[in-house]
Amino acid sequence: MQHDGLLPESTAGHRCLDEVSVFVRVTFRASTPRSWCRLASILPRRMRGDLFTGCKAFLVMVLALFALASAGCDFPRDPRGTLEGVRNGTMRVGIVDNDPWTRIEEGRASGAEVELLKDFAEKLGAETCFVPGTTPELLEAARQDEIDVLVGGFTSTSPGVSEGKEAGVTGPYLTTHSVVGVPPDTPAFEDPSGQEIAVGSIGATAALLKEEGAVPVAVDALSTADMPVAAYGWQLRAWGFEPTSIELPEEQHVMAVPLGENGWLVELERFLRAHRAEAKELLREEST
Amino acid sequence: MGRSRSPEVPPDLRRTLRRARRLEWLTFAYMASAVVLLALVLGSSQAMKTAWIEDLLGLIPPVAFLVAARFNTRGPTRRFPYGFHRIVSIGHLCSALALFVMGAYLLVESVLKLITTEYPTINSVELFGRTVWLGWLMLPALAYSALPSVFLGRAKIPLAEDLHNKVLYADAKMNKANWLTAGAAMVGVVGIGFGLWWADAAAAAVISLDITKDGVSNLRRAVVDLMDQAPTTVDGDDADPLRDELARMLRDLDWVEDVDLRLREEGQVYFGEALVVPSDGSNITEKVEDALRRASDLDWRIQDLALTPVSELSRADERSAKEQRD
Repeated sequence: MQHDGLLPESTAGHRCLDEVSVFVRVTFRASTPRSWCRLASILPRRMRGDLFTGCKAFLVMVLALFALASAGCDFPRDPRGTLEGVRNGTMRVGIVDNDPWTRIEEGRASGAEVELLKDFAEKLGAETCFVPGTTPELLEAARQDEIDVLVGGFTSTSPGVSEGKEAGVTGPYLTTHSVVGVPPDTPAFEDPSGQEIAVGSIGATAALLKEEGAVPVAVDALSTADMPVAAYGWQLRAWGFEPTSIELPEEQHVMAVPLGENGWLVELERFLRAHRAEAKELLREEST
Repeated sequence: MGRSRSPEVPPDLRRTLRRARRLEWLTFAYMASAVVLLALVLGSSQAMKTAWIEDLLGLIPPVAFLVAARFNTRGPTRRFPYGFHRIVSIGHLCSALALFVMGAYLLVESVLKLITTEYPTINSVELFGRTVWLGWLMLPALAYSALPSVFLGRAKIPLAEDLHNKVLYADAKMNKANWLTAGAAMVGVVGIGFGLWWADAAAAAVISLDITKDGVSNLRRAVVDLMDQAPTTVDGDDADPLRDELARMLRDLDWVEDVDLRLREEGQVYFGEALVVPSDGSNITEKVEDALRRASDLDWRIQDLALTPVSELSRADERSAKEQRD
């Protein structure tokens, strides 16, 4: 079922019933008496009554949960009410500068993840407000409930964020991988070890290059570098570089939210999963 | 005479033993499957992680039982002249330790979480093309890990009493601990769903008190058994009435004037020595052999009794005999 077109107010009820139906299907399948019959034959006779009582208790429990979930329906809820605060209010976005995912230029935020969150805010009927900072600063802000979501091109291996200790982490919503390209009329190479390869900044891509044995060099203008560069495939094509066969490992992109705000986290994950294609498109636009 | 026969369990209890073994294999298989299942849906929920570690610890008692049940019936050898009975006591110590560690771990972890006000975060996953909160999936996984434990635990207690097997008893307690924690974790997950961040840790803390109590009492009993405490019943600190019964039987023999009996537990069975003062010293060999036969007929647990005729009980023996008589 797709909920993208629905208004934020009307989405809650539908998707909740959806989840409940999946849950009930899974539990009922797990609790079919067939799988318990073997157990019953091993148990002493007087225990069979217990087994029956247990089954009944279990079903009652499932039905109670079902009733409860369909009545409440905004499940899971946030301990600090982030989702409620954002809906028809303001979404406070912490951003760490990391082109092309996030950029802060003259006080204005842009970048693929910024655009994505603007769409999300629009869907929730919320204003956006951007809080620039470093990762540790913004993680602390998330802990103190000063921001609602934290972006900065984080991946599932970003130190500080990916461990999920300081902030809740969404599931990966986008997978990318960089390719090494060479300037036109330069011979391609297959073995990266010892090669100087240009990167936009020393970060995750540089680390991956080092693992391959290459020497990452940070340059200001990657698109006009006069040496091999590591970049996304479409960037290489747009800049006129020749892609080589050297592909760096995949990076899984994630966003972070304050710890424990499960309703908010699930809402964000749902949005990101439904907008993977847009995310990819935004990334292409922002990075060329 | 009086030396251990192998196997140690009498024919009418073999069926019980077989059933106990089957139950333990079942426990082992099911625990192992629960460990794998929980590992697959493990979120950062406190009680979820502890439920997993506790399932892992829950593998120890069935393994201890199965290993002990494999070796304890072996006959004595030159190197092990008393046989292998005590491996059951060692199994009990291992199981009790696992139970205690589980309770203590759970208690410390959950109290720490409460103190540091850690907000448990539970993601969602994509299932059948839909986004489903992982908490929903944790509930059936936890129920799977909890429900069989209720029955396994309850089925083991009567068997443990019949077999006088304290490993089996500790394992029954472990099963109880298992379903209690899984239940607490379910309450915790539902609580988190309602936005109560502390529900998880609070439920785990309450449950851990009960488990720690079971762990400590089993640990203490395992240790005092290895220190040759007089035999006790499987479920508590009560002295086993069998000792007094045996002492009375010996004292009531017409050629016996006084008895000093001491017994100790070697796993499922009892070993011990009896000093008897005969009123009539003639044909003493036959009389002693007859007494030993009567003793081993009294109960299968009286496995290895040494009976020594003496002219009088020393003062210390008399004192202990009197204590025991009271």
